Amino acid sequence: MPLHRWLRSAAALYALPVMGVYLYLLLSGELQNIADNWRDATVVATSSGVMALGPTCAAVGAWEGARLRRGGVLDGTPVRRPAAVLLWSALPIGAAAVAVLAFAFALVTPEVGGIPGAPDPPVVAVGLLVIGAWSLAGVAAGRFLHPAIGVPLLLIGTWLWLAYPQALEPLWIRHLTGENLGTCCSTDTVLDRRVLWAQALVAAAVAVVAYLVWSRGFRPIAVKAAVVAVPAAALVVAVSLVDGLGADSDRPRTGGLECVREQGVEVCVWRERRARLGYAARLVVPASRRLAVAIGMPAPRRITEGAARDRESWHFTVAPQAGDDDVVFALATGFLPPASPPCAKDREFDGDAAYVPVGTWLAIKAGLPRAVVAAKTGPMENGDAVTRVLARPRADQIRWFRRNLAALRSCDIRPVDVE
Amino acid sequence: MDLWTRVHQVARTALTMGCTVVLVALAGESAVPAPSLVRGALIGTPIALALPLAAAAVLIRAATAGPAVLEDVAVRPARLYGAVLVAAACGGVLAAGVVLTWGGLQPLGFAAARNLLGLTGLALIGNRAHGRAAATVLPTAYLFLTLMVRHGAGPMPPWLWPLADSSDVAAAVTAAVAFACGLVLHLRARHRPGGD
Amino acid sequence: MPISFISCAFGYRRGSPVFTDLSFRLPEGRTVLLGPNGAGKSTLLGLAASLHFPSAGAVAYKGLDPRRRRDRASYRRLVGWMPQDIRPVPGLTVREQIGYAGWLKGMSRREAWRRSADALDAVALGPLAGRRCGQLSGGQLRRVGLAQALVHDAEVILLDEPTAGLDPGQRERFRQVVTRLGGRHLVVSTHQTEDLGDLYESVVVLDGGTVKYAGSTAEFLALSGDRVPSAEASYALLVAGEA
Repeated sequence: MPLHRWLRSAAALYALPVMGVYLYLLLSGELQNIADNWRDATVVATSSGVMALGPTCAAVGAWEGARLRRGGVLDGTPVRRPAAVLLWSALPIGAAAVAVLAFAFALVTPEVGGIPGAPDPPVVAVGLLVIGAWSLAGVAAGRFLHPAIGVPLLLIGTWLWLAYPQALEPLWIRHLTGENLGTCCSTDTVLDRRVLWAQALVAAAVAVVAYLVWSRGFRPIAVKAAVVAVPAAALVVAVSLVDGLGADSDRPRTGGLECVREQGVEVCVWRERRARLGYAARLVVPASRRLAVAIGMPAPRRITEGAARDRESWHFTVAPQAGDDDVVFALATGFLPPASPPCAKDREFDGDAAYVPVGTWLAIKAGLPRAVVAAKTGPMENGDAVTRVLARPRADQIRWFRRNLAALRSCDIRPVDVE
Repeated sequence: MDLWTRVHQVARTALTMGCTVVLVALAGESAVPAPSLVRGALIGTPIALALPLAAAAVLIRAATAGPAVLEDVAVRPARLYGAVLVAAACGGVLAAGVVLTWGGLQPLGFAAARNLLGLTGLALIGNRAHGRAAATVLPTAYLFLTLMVRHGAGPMPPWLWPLADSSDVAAAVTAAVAFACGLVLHLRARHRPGGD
Repeated sequence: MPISFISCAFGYRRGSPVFTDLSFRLPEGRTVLLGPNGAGKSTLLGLAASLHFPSAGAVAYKGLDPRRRRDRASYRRLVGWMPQDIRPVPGLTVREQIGYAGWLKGMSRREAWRRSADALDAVALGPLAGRRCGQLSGGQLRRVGLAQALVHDAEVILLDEPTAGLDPGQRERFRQVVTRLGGRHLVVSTHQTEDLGDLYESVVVLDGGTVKYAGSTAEFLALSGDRVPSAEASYALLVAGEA
């Protein structure tokens, strides 16, 4: 049968504009928030795609399944296997989903167009698998449900599954749906692959159950058992993969650095920022030497956006649009811990009071003018702590720095001279 | 009459209405994030306001079930019976919603019942326009459209009635008008060739 | 006094009328309605059954016009109808479905239940009374449809393709049912013409929304002009485009 004949009566064709508009509504507000890497862009695009297409494709599937039932297609002893009939019936839906997802990537590409990299294939594949699974579930459900019930049920039910878990605890539930919270990764993090495996398992279980119900109906005991057992088994494995993950599904990135040697120091940035590598190196190497003198440490042999694994490695970041001052400031504040220590959740922790003064002092010692530092950390008065510390001898400043840096990392050490 | 109640799934409808009331009560003010075009952000949407869509689907299915060709040439007023079923089901849920809200058990109880009324009305209008297979397309699309164009908390314009709280009089009136229109169209409908 | 169509116009879609100005009276007694597919036979029966209302003109029986609300219930009580498409009602047994049809036609529950047994016997479905309608074969379902039309003792009975899917034994049974319907007007739409002369007193031939012939069976058969009268030959002469 000519393809256009097949498509003419496909509900997916008529739902395609709705899917496209819904995706645009979801995605358009997120475009300016995409981080400077393709991983985040991929997750933003597929997340919007899953949210827009999952419920709509499931509902369209319910309509198509009911249409086939009313037409007596399944009673006509077809030569083709049930899987073939199911997949061909879902093909227009799949084609619509691919088209809309391509539209999503067309929207995100300008935001990350100049950045090295490409869409993350596993993320795209899992997104399509999730959408496909719910489409098949809709077609299978449509075989048994009147469309007046099946269409809204699949639309609302799928939407609830994709959207509601974000608000639930335990936190691992949100990692099973395929929606990925609408965003993923800053440039120094990656999506935890266990999340993708878990989502793929759940989606595959939905697809298997859909096929069994479609081909055998609900009557055989084996099907009834499979409808329970297959998703249960998939959930058990999936939960074991994502249990322990917190609210977010990203983890620190370990690879993908590009490096250059500048005045004997290796400077490394993430490959997405390689265009700024030379520029960053020329700024951070002299700044690091000034800092080394100020804090009484050897100058670093390596300055990296990745993890600083030893005392000779220092950490910094080159954010997109960062200027000279921003780069040096990032180097200076790279000494500060990114978060309070774990003990701060359960005990009194005074170290936070040292955060701004230590950061201010480091930035000034790295060579930034006071006015620039004040614009970032707050005005410095004549009587405030940093001004007083800067007036002291070098040895005193080093002791002050080391004591307060330790206070930032421990609940047992109180900061000194930070008020 | 007992055959009519079986053909039109009265028991299942009553059970569904009961379960809907219970779920609305249990849902409290739990919300699901849904995108808003106007706000450009996800806004929490109370589940209790979306649940009535499923109940409306079951109700419209029950009201339009049965052999249409026989009922359309019946001596007995089969359409009137269907309308009475719809009115009774919605009335029962409305009463329960009032109790939930005034009793302080679920502030959105009346709003959920109002939504059942309005969405059922839209389903009846959809049934008249597109036949019983596509009856729920209209209320489903309407509910999702309202989700996407709302601002968030605060006074709602009347046409965003599915998202208004229980004290919103304009929303209640709008839903009631939709319900009344749907009932009138249902009672005046003629036979639709092709059945389902 | 049979059902009359008075300047009736009707179409399912704007711009595609089935009838434009049908003025015609269904004959009394047993009448067979012939015509090619798409001629309007089922639509004609639907109008007579008050399933549809004409967009112009009127349908009347005994002075009752079903378009008038005050006449509708009385009209429908007098007219029984078997549609072309019989669907099982989910959850009902055979007898319950027939009883439901009788109740819809204004019979009391008790009377409808009692008469459903008679209707079942008339179509030889008694042994299947307790079976779910969804489990019936196509031919059995058509007999349920026939029983639905017979249950409430209508004066005019309209049957659309009642013998489609029936085996020869069941068709013979149908002929016996028809023969026993004394005192009632019967209109049967069918494509089976082998026992035209024995069973029906009148023939109506419809083609393209127009009545091509309405008269006695004997005159219809004589149209062919052959020594051995042939319904097929007479039909072919009347219907456009056939040799």
